[in-house]
Amino acid sequence: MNCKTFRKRQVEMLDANPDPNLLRHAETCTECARELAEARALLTALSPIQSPYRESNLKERIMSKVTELETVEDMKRYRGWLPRLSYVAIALVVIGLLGGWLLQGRPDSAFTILAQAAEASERLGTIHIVAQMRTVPHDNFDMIVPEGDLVPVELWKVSGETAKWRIEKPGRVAVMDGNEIVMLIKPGDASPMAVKASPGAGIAQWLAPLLDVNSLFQREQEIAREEGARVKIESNGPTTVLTIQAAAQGDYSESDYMKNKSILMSDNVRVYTFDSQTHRLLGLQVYVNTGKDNVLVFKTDKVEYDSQLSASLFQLDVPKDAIWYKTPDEMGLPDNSSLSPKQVAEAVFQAMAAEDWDGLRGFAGTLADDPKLRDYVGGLQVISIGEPFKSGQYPGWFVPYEIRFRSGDVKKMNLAIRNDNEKKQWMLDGGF
Amino acid sequence: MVEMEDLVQSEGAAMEFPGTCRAVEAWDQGWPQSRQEFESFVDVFLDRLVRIAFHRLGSMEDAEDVVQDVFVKAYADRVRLRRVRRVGPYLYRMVANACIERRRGRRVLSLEELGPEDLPDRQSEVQEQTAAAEFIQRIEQLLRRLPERQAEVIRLKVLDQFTFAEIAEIVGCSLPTVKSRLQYGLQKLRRIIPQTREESL
Repeated sequence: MNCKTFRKRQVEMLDANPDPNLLRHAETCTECARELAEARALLTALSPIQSPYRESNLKERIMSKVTELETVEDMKRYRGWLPRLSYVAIALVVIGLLGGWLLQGRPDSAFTILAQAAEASERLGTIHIVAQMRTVPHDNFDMIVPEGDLVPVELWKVSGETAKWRIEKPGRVAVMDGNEIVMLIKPGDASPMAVKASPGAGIAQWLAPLLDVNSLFQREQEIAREEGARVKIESNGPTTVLTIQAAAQGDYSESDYMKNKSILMSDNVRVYTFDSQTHRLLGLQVYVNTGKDNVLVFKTDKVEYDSQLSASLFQLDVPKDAIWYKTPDEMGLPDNSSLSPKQVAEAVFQAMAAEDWDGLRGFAGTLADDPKLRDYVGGLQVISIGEPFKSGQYPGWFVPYEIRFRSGDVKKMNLAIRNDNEKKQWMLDGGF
Repeated sequence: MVEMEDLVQSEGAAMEFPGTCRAVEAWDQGWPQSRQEFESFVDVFLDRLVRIAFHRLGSMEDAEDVVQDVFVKAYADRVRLRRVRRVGPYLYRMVANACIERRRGRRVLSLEELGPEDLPDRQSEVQEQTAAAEFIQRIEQLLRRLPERQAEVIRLKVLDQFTFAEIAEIVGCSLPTVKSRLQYGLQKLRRIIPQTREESL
């Protein structure tokens, strides 16, 4: 290679893996080596030693903008939801006015917030929640009555190898002592009833996850994926508010009887407030859309972490006169699985009418031993029994009935029966 | 004062462009269509794009604004851009063009306004971010005296540390064209920088 060719191709020496012939010429020709050195020196002088550093939150800023963009896209997509208005304009106004409000069409970020909350909850010693719920004091923990009064509800949990928790409202308390769950039902005008259940039993399927953010996260994730919940996130300095708007779960094609009887079986909005720093849950409000109004059915008044909790909270003193509930199967009673739902209702009412308490035990277990129940239903007269139906998420059947009590009073309601157990044994579950 | 030969000896290794990020090849998934894909896409390109924008604007604030705008545009136009296969070069071009737009809004210093301090002075290249920004601004003032095509190849090679092949792809021209633009650009820079200032290097 001569000097003329080298000068023509000298610039290639500034790239990766230059031609070895160029390298060899530069080593042997002083003049060309000097020119190359000058070129390199110029480039060195032009190149910055220090790389600039960027703001650490730039990615977050970009993703926030992307979320705003998705909001506008979503609003365009769901144009039919708000006729007569300009949705893009609304989205821009909302974003502009509320600053940190980010509406999302997908739940990815919501999952992140819940996952952070779950992680934060793993480090907790105790949690204590004071709340109010529109429900019936002694009835099911998950039951809501949108038109009813707010009833105090309190939850406690202490972490450990085996977590202990307590959930209580005026007519019902459930305690997990680390081994088993014991629930005490105190109807007030009847004998208290005690129920033992395994840790996996769904004693308070909606309330209990509030004490265990991991299961809360899992539940919300499933709902978002399967039910297509809409998610809204407000990041406002010290707090992050996650709003989940979900449709009622379950099948209401046969009947809407169970609609709005629990939070999960209602069209609802759940508003979670998290601490932006610690990611802990600070509060929760739940609103149910009844078709007429949005009714606040649950709200936390206080969420307390790592406070001293008395050991006695996790020991339940069951009154001596309480009836321990046993299912027909646990009592070793005859198999009734071959009956149809309507036949079950007929058999239950026949046993009550004839005051056949052994027969009633076959469906009601030890519930049939309650003297106040016997006094209430003994000798009743069946006016009609309707066709069984299913509703919502309830795993059993409802059988419409009309009866006349010995007192002459008439009652028209739906008997709840279920057989979702291993032996398909029918059990009386409520509606009385 | 550091002589040119000293610089060559002490920083010759730097001319091998160590630590060059091969982000051009790091993304072979096509234009991101989902939010999840887009987030990975941002992870791969963010730092590189900020550096590129900073090298053209000399202001970290402006660089971040430009990169943010480019990424948002990249997501907004994702359906239209789904046929783009060489995502990296296209994205770099978007940033380079956005920087040109941003610079158009700025006042350019006249030659008379440039003092000795406007030459790159490696000794004064302190650790501070502000000094890095000033350094880039001075480089940019020099590059503005070149035809833009030559200046852009120098930026891509010297500041952004792309290979000739990558530059050809980004700029959309042949490899020999890239080499000639760099060669002519460097020759002009040598003429622009007065001998006295060159000695101060």
